[in-house]
Amino acid sequence: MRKKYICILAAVLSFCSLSGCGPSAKKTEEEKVTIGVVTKSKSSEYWLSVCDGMEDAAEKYHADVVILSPDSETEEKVQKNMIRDLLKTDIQALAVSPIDSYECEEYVQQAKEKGISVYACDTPIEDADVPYIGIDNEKLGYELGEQLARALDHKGKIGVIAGDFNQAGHRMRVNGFEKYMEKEPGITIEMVRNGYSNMQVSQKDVDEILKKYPDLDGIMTTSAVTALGLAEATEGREISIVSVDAQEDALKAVQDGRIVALGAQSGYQIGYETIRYIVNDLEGKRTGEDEILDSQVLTTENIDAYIKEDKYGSS
Amino acid sequence: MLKSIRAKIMLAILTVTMFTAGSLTVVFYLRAAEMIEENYSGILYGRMQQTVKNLDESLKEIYYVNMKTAWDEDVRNNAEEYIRTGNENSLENIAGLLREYSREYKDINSLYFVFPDKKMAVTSEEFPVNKQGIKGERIEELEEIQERDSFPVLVESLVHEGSSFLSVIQKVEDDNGEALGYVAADIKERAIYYEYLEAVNDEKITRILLVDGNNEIVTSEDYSDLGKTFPEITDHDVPGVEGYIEKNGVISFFSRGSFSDCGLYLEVPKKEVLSGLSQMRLFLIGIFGAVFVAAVLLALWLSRVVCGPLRSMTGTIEKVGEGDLSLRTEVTTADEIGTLGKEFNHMLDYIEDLIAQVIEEEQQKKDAELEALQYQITPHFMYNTLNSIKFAAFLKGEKELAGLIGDFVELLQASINKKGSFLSVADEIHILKNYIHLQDFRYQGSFQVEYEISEEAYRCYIPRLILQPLVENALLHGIDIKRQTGKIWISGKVKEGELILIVKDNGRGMTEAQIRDLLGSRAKKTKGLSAVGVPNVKERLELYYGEKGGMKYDSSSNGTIVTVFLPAIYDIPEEGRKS
Repeated sequence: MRKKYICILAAVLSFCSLSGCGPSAKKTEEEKVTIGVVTKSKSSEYWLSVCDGMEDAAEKYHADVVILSPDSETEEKVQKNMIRDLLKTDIQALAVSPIDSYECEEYVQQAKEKGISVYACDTPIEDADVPYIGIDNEKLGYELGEQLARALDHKGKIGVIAGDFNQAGHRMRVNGFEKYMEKEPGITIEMVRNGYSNMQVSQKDVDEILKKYPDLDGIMTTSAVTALGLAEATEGREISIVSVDAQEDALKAVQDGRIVALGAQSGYQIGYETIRYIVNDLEGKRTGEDEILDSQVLTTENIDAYIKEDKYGSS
Repeated sequence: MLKSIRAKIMLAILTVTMFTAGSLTVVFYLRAAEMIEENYSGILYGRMQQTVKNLDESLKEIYYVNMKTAWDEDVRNNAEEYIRTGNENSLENIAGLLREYSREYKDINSLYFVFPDKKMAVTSEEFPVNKQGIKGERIEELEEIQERDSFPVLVESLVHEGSSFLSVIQKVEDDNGEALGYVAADIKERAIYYEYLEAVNDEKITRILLVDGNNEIVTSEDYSDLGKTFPEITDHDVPGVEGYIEKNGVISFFSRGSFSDCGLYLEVPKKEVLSGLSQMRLFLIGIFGAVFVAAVLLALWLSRVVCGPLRSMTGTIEKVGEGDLSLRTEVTTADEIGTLGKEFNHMLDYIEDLIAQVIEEEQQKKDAELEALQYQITPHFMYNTLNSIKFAAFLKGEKELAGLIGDFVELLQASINKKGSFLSVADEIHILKNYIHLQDFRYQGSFQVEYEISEEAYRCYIPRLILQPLVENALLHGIDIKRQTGKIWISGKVKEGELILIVKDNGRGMTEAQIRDLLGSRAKKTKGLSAVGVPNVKERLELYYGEKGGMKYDSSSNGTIVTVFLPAIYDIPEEGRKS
């Protein structure tokens, strides 16, 4: 009996001492993987949402993300400089949205030598074997072709104002677009111009194009910024415009009917999926395959539903 | 050690109460301390992380500015121009551009372009605009750092010798990849301190410092830390990667920026964190004291409630033990003690009943004995017959004979008379005289009797047949009948409420052994008037009067004196009761 009481007393005392003198302040985070990211630009809404997606995923998957961005999509050399700078640090992976998809071999090689895995995000790297995380640009171009043909009732003259073809994404979109147009005997592609990016399509260029091709019925552009500039310049004329990039003002333009169809890729999703893909990859669940994300073609018919969904969905 | 139950109960209550209160207080205090520490650490760490993030963003902006400067066409062209021609105007142009860029971000202290071959630098500052004669090894060092680190590190300034700045360095190349020079941005140490470290710093923090990616101290509250490396300067444990750790009473925090790799380190003494608890400690001690006082009062009260009935019962038992059976313990509770008290009272009642019963039975036994003794005396028949004979003798003129028979009849009458066990001394003497008359006739005047009874004594009542057996005994054993000189003195007097009757003879006396035999003999008397013997007299005296009644034999060769003493009573006492 006495033994029993002593046992109970001992248990109570040990409980007290446990709860009292338990582990004090201590929080040490495990070593995180550091992922270096170089985007194409920091000035557009699209790229901000890519970064947002990346940061959210980094928090979720306990990774550190260092994002560097040139001012605009034209600064190819600055981008390479940034990649070089990042490669000097202790990153385990590098995600690049190349401004030039065909000039990547050097840094990919350099990264490989340092044991850093490289990934292409948003825009594929064409001169090295690097996993790509992004949408199927060709398919998107093809679908935009469909929408434009429908808007023009399958006849008329059209033009293409594309971003820099050094960025494989732009080239693929045009390829897909052209592939579709081959099926449309009533539509002729009057002109294809590339090398424009961001706001680089100046009023002068637009005027010049419109002057040179006065009877264009439709125009396809590979980036929303160009399309918005174009829509402004062609106000009052019957020109159907299709474009890519679901940024806020472009969505509004779709609602207004200034843009007939908009290929939507979610920057947030691309950013998020890129980090998720890389973390999985570094953990050994390596597939080596491209991660093709969904894209959507927005028209006046589905734009409202998309905006509503997108508000709750990504950001 | 603890003799009373009350003390034990008090001790038990106090022990349990104080153990509980003490344990709770200690556990509560320690838990509170732990929580406060954890909260403080968590919040501080969160603030730190935010600060490091802000700093990181800021450094990134400076990196961007530096990058922009390095890739600026004008800067590049002017640099090329200067290298080619040595045109001073180009330097001025560069300085102007640098000034413009340096204003793009507030924390930039100085932005400068280094021409390694010319061993000079153009700066964004008012003075020196051009820094000439930079030592070769300093430039080599710069190149080395640039190769190694592209993000901010602590570098001794090329422009301001002797002071180190957190700097970003960018190589400037011409279109062929040939190095034109370096652009470097210095960040003000104090700017970092006030903008970022001070934002976290509070009075509890004893050490706060920022280190670069190479663990060199960039800025610190303590100037003397500058230029030293981390974590050598601290004796405390430093968290391995990120986070906080407590050791030897100091909590150390560490967090690094992912871009700049700059780390913020803090030390906070645990006692500072817990300083707010000293109030709490006082409060708890106060509470503990109050609980103690309350516990003592409670213990006193409870022990009294519990032990009061017990104590009253103990007192009763002690008194009962001393012989007072009439006491009863007071039953105030319905618990076990109450039951005990109740049962104890029942027990006392029972004992009292038993005792009364025993007394009653004894009394009845005594009465029965007396009655039996009386029944042994000669029956009425004899008395009637003798009365007839007496009258016959009287008629025939035998007066003496008739007198004798009359005496004998009276004697028988007195013996048989069942009405009351008590007689007055006068009646007893009358019976005695009858008896003596008969004996005198039998022994033909061989003895004489003298009476000396006071008036007061005559009126007293005594148990019947007290004196007769004594006289009988004197006649049978004391007086020598044949010598005709025997004398018996019978006296009675009252003295101080006590009746003293004495029967004295001048016989041969009795030895001690004879007296003992006489008084102790329980054998039935076969001779004499009745079955009532001397032992019976003594017994009756003791039965009726207890210690107040008795008899005493004094004997010598000159005779025997028997003294009977008993309380002088002038009324017929109630039957069978002790007076």
